Amino acid sequence: MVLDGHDPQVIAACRRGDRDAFRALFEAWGDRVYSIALRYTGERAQALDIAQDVFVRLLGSIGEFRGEAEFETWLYRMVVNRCLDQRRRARRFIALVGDFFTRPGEASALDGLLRSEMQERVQGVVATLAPEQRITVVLRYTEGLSYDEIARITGVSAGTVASRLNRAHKNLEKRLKRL
Amino acid sequence: MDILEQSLGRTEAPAELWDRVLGGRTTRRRGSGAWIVAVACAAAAMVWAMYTPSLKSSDPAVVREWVKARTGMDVPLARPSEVRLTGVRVVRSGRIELSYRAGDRAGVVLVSRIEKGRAHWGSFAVDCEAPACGLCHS
Repeated sequence: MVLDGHDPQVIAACRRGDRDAFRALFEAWGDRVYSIALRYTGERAQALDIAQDVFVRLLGSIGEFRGEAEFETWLYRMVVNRCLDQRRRARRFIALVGDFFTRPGEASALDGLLRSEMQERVQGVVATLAPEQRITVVLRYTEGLSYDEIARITGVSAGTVASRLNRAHKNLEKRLKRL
Repeated sequence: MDILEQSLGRTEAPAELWDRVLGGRTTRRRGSGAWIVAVACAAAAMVWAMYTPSLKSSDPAVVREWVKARTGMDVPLARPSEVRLTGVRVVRSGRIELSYRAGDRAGVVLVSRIEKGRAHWGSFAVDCEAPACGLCHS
């Protein structure tokens, strides 16, 4: 039987200590948890630490999940709290594009490289935002969550979410222009 | 802000994440921390070994003078016949280590200022084994 990690019965099975159910839960949520951590920290190693910690804590505390909040919101809160606990704001070195020599037939490869370079720069700039702005941006753009959902997860009003996003957009625009 | 959606999209978690969750411990930072501590301890031990005062001599008078000059301890060394003094090392303030050789056997005698419950040698306490007796008693 294939278990669906979004199924409430799977969560109930996890609470009973069912290992297969926890594996299904991990399969369903692993990419999301890791992605949020990676986009927030900008570093693979730190993201792995955070994601590991979240799942270890989840395993230890899922018995306390009573279903008052949706499981999704509960898990997102754990990830957000763990990210915000990450006090060490590693400064990322953003490599600048060197000289490119375009040869016929290399246009698509170069496009790909530039796109990848740009993505890396954007992630680098996002990593310099204040923690509250950064986590709001990640929840919005990595997870595609609504203002209301972000507000529930981060424990602030939707208005505050909008304001944080607005400030983050302005900061990002300013910093990306400099690159 | 399309660029944010493109740049911050969801990505696949590395396969090692599950293994790490099962392991239940953070390997990276704690591991590297332990490694740094181990290297620092080894370096400190090397520096300590390099700068620990020592002397190689089989002359009891020379050793006695050397010890007295560095620790203020006047250790009345004898001129042994069966045991040969080979050197001395200051372990820490008020504690020295005399090296000796008895036949093909090497050993050390720890000499320190008197502490309660330890064997006495004049005004010093000693930790030694039988062959080293000649160092103190001629």
